[in-house]
Amino acid sequence: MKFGAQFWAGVLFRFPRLYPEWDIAVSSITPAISPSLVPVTVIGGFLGTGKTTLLNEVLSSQTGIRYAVMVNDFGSLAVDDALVKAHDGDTISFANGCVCCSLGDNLIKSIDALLERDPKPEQFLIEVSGVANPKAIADVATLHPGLRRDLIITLVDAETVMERAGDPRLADTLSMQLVPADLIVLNKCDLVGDTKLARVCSYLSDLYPSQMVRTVHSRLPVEYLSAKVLTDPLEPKLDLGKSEPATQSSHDPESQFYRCTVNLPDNMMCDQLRALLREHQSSLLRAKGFVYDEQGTLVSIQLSGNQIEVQSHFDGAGEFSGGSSKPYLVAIGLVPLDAFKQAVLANLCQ
Amino acid sequence: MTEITIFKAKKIVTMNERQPVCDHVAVRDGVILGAGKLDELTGWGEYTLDERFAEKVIFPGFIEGHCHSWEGAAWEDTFVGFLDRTSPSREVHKGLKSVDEVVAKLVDAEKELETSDEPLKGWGLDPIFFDRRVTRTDLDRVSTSRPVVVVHQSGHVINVNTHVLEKANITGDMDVDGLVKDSDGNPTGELMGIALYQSALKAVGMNSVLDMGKDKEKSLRWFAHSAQIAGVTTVTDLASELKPELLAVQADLASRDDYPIRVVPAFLGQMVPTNEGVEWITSLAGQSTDKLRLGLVKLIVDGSIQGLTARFKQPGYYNGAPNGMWYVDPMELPNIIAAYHKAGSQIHIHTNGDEATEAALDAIEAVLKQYPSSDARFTLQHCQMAHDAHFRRMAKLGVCANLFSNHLYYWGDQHYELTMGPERACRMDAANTAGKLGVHYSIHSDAPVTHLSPLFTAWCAVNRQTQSGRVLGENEKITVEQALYAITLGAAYTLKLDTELGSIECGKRADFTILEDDPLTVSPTKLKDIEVWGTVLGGRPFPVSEIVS
Repeated sequence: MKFGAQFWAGVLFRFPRLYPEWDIAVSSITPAISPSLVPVTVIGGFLGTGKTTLLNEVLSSQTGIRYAVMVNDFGSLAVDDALVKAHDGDTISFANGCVCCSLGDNLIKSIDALLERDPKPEQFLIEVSGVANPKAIADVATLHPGLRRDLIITLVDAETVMERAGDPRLADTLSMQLVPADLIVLNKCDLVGDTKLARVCSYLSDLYPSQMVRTVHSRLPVEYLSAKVLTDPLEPKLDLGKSEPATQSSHDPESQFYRCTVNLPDNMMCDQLRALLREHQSSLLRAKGFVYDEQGTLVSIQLSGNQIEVQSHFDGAGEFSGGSSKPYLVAIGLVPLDAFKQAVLANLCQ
Repeated sequence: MTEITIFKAKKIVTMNERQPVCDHVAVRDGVILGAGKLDELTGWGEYTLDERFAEKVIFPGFIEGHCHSWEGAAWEDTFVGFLDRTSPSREVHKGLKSVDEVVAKLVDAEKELETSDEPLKGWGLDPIFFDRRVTRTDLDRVSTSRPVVVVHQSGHVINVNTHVLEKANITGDMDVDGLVKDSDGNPTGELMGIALYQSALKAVGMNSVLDMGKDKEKSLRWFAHSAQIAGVTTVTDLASELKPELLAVQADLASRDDYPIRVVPAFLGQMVPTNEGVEWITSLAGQSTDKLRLGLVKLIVDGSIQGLTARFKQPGYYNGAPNGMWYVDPMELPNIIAAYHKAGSQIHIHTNGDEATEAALDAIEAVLKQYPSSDARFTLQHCQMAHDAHFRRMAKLGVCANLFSNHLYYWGDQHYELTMGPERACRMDAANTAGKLGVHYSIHSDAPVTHLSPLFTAWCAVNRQTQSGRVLGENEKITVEQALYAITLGAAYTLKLDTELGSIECGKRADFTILEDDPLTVSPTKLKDIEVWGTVLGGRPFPVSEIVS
């Protein structure tokens, strides 16, 4: 009875109700990150959303980055033999410097084997199965002494997502994939008409504060596989799905939720924002954004349920000081968020 | 080799309706020549009359339709469970009724360790029965200088001491799911979920939680002893990755005359991509032997009820916990089932919650529509919350159930009070309804999750009594006869082994359970207390008294 990583990743434990006196998985301060840690991006989404296509693309292009790609199903990769340098048991080496292996029954063992390679991979991309919680795999990176968690990316199939969302068997699994996502990739946009695409976009943005991009054929530029690109919400959203971008979602009158984006000035600290989120928790469904911590590092902050999580994504403090990145917060409210927005701004005036 | 032995017994219960009871059974080359009166058997030829069972009761060898070979390996570590448990070396380990008792047992075990830095591992902890959780402070009383790791009964959660937390660099400020913290924000040492426990174990050089142990052969021998002690002659190992190295050890043991059990391992079909799995299980098809049966596939659809990870339809958990987890995408399930079904494998599917049971039945129905089969004998394993409507569907589809009756005693009170509420708790593991509606069923232990003992499992299904003495559903009780059928011919049927196992009659294998008393005449409340002399496998007696550790 020895089950593998993917299997256990599907297992969540919900004892808080049994033991309410204990606070499970609520983080406080994120430790500073050493630049030598290898970033890990986790890629989730139901089967058929385009994860494998995305990874195939990465493995066969000249990105200049040595990716280590870990997949569920080796066989589903459309590996071009001309690009393969060596095939060594469970691992394929590519001429472009990337390696690919299957997850195996012990994720940490497989990761360690890849870390021992010379040259060392520069970034891990780990595909998780459709019903696994991508956060559980990202936690492996958080805990590993040689890794740092970079992004959780969840792919969504524009054609079928509303069906999944309306299926009582799958709605909560969809939400489990999307809540921890730093980036939502709305894929297969070419398969739906503009009206439906607009509806899907507003459904997702009404519920999830994560950044979202639209794609066709999983064509996602590799910059989007790392957190750097996510720190500025004001850049026009990448829209690769259609030549005609779908109407940017304003508030859907049918929706029960309210979305707002707040630009945070550089002097707002993580702890202040945390306090504000706590204070307004009852009117917020979720919130997500980037803010400076006490060390001056840009960190991501996320409110979900009653948990506030803070996560470092970057190599040290200096990297973004001269960049165009701006702290911001996207919040999804259960009520109109004018009061919350004002409170955030008022706090800044103090 | 052609010698005939006729065993004389006080009573032989055959499970053969034409001759339910007799007192002699003739055996040649591991096969039953016949059962009946002595003069009905002497015609087979010259024989030796073996009277060692003259004062004992013979049953068809018990079949455990759902347990795990990890039952053997588990005993390499220190047992700290709540209920009494007998080890494979027949040592009775008293159940530990408080955190202090758990710590005291670990302290004793620590003294036995040979080197100063080797890890101490405990298993079977179930804090659901205690008034508080175990913490690192408790385990630091065992040792501050060596790793102390205690695996919970569920296998999904561990407790560690401070030494392990420090080695693994696990601190309260980490944003990881399943890290339990005290009111000051420090880790309590309770770690839930793969990321945390794999990381913690790796940091102190230990393998995974469910490890087959250093010595696979010893572990598999212990597994066999656990079975033999309980009177079991055929066990499942549900499920295994069937890795070649473990399979080789299993095959070697199975080829030896002194290995006292037949093993039916099931391949965990969702562990690898389906096409690879089909290829692997197909390649093993010709390798079955008398005592090692390959070809069964297991799929797991959801989690467990007491772990709150089983999938439920409305209204969900009684205590309001969110719905559980899919272990496989229900939209994908039909494709996976179809692939193994087409390849000729029999498929057993773990479902606990009603939503999971329905997803499995929907998938099976779709597959059978596309690839009709008159006797696929899909079996839903656990199937704890199936409702009458599900059993009616199962009967129509020819789907069997293997019900987890031991749950009624082990966690019945928790199901009543916490997870399911009174009404649903009283129809859990509904053996009576299953039988009434025409579903072939067995009952099981899921050892090492609960202890391996078909007589205890039968007792649970007959009495439906919880630890507190509450009866969970008077009208789901089954009779002693029905329960004994479920652990013999009923289980054989779910494994498609009913042509050769499960009853005592001409042509079947000479696998017997030898009891000191008659389950059909003792009080049904005493069913679990009947002493097991041992077993006979393929005509060869295996007394429990000869087990050496």
